[in-house]
Amino acid sequence: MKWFLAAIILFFLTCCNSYAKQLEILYVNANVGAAAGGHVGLKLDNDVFHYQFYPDDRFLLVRESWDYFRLIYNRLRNRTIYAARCSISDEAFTRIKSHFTTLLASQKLDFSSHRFLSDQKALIAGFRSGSLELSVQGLGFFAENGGESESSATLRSRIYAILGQTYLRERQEAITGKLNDCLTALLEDEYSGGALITKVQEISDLKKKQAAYDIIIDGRSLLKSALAEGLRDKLSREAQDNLKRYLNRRLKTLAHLLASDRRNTGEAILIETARCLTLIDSLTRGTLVTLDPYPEKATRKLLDLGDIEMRRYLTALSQILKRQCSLLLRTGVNDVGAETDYRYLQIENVNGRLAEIGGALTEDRGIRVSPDIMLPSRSRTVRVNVPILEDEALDPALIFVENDLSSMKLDFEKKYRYALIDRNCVNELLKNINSSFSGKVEAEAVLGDWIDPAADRVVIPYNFFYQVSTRYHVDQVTRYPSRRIAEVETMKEQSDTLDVWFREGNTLSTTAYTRRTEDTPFLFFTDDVKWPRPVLGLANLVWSAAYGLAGVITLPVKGGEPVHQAIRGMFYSLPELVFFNIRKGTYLHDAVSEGAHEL
Amino acid sequence: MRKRMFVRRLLLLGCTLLVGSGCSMSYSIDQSSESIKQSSDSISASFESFTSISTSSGGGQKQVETALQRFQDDVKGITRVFLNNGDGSDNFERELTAVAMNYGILDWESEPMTFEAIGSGLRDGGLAEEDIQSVSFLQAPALQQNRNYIMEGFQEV
Repeated sequence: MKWFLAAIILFFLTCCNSYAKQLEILYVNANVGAAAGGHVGLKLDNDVFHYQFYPDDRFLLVRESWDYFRLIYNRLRNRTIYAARCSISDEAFTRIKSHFTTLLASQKLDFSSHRFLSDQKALIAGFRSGSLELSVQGLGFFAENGGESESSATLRSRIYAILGQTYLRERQEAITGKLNDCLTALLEDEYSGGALITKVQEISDLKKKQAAYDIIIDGRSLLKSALAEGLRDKLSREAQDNLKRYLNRRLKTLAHLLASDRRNTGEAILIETARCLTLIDSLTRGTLVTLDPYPEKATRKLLDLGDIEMRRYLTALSQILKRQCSLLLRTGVNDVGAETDYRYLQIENVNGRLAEIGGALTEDRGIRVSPDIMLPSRSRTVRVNVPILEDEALDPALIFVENDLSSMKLDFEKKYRYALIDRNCVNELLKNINSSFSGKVEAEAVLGDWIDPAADRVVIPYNFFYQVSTRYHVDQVTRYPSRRIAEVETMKEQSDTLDVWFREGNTLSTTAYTRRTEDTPFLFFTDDVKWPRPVLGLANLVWSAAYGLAGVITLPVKGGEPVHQAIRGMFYSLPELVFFNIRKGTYLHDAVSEGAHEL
Repeated sequence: MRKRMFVRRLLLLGCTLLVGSGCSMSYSIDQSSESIKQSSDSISASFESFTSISTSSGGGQKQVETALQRFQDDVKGITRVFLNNGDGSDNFERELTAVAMNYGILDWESEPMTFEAIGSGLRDGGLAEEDIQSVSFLQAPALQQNRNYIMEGFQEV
């Protein structure tokens, strides 16, 4: 009977626990560069929220997937992550997650408002010269002139079949009429301040819509440079059927956007039109063509094509992407819903990146990079002739916008500044975990304690994690070893520990690490040993000094970089003399075999 | 134990102050907070970005579900921000468009999940059901026409 009751209690506890959610505080140990003090993050489900410092002096909250976070910190930055897990109720979890997503939304809104106002300022200023320069997303995919393409004619007839033969022309005329009315109203009526800004925005939206209708009606073709042909294989019957479904979905979306009364649909119409054309082209040719997904400002990195390791890595990566692209094309889709939209976006991204690697390996043009998933949206600037407005009308509106921009600038300096002690990744994260709750009592009930960033002097990542581990209701602390340590630990399981240490403990004979200049010159790894650390640190110090001396001798040939790295190397050896380790080495790229399991 | 902890903390603080920032730099070191700068000084960031392809653009159902969950989280987030700021409907629509575009959704108007997420965001933001009608940023036609979905999202537990 006792056992039976115990089993029932256990069953209920298990059931209750299945409703509980997990909050995890992450601690990432130190490494060279800006990571010398360690780092912290908050993991909620698959999302990791953490603060990062940007080169333009802004300190911002970011959200990343757990997989990506591990890839960067564990595998490339070679740092060990510790996760302290607390079980909390669904309600508390939702509250904390809501708080962080709201912070993130607020941050994004601040920057988009700033961009919007800056654009407004430029547009208003255009009324002095009578010519507005309008950047239109999606327009950059199309040829500026030239004849009608076969796919454009096909697309137009498909739109006519949905919306009717006269629909596009009627709407085009209505938009042109509205645009002219707006321009006339600017001359006849007196707009100033906020009213002028609203009117200018209306003109900008109408012009973008007009450009979109013109493209469809005129049957403009896509520019060759706007296309990505990564996967060059012949499309299978299954892939073609799926592409037909994607085309149906895109057509439905396009028709809905064309019929919508929403003001700012012009750019979305242009992008969907371009996507429809690539799908029609793909089905006609029997091979996949998508839009180039890279933004105009995508960073282009120079590649050393003579670097064998890099070439091998990129070749293997393109094989992975090729398989991924084929898999995406084979995955069954329907022609409705946001899920289909996202899947198509994935196809565009994988095919676009595949084309980029192909181009980088064959032509010496570098490689464009963008860490995020990208919506193809290449823009082009169009010139709009507008009436010249007097300074009396424009100045108040410009002052209005400039005042807003100035107050935003001041606000941003306060909100997004970084301060080593007062506003860093630790205390900002803690402040926001605390402010997710109504107060101290609630936080204590959920987490087990209240850690105050100021009163508890929480500044250093390690100290924060120590306090979390000892004061919160932590169920478990999980260690995710750095890439090198994980590899060495696996080796130690398979062969003699001492042999492994002798081989893998130094940068000369290690097989688990390749030396990199930015890691500074060092001889011994000290992140996986403790007591010998000062001795090995001393050896590292001497090694760096010797490297520096050699750097001085080769100064006229190699420049100052070796000396700079040697000084850094000596600097990072100093903590090792007092049992601390910062330097661990980093990796240029992930092992391709590791990425393959993601498929 | 406390003394050891204090010494350790002091040494760590010393190291942090000496070495510099205790926080992480943006992964793509050339990436500014708003735009991406052109640079060719280091290729490490490019590999970091490229190796992320397998995680960011994976073909699995999990990635799609995660992305759409994030889309809804983002819509809830901007709804709560607009609820606090009391901004207008035109700006709200613009922000919705920008958020949806990040997930390849160009026609958010025909996605019930957009409006359900707005409803859910209103509820999380502490709005009373009877006040939904008077929210200034929900006055645009596209939002008025989908009020039933907003209500569904609001009432969903």
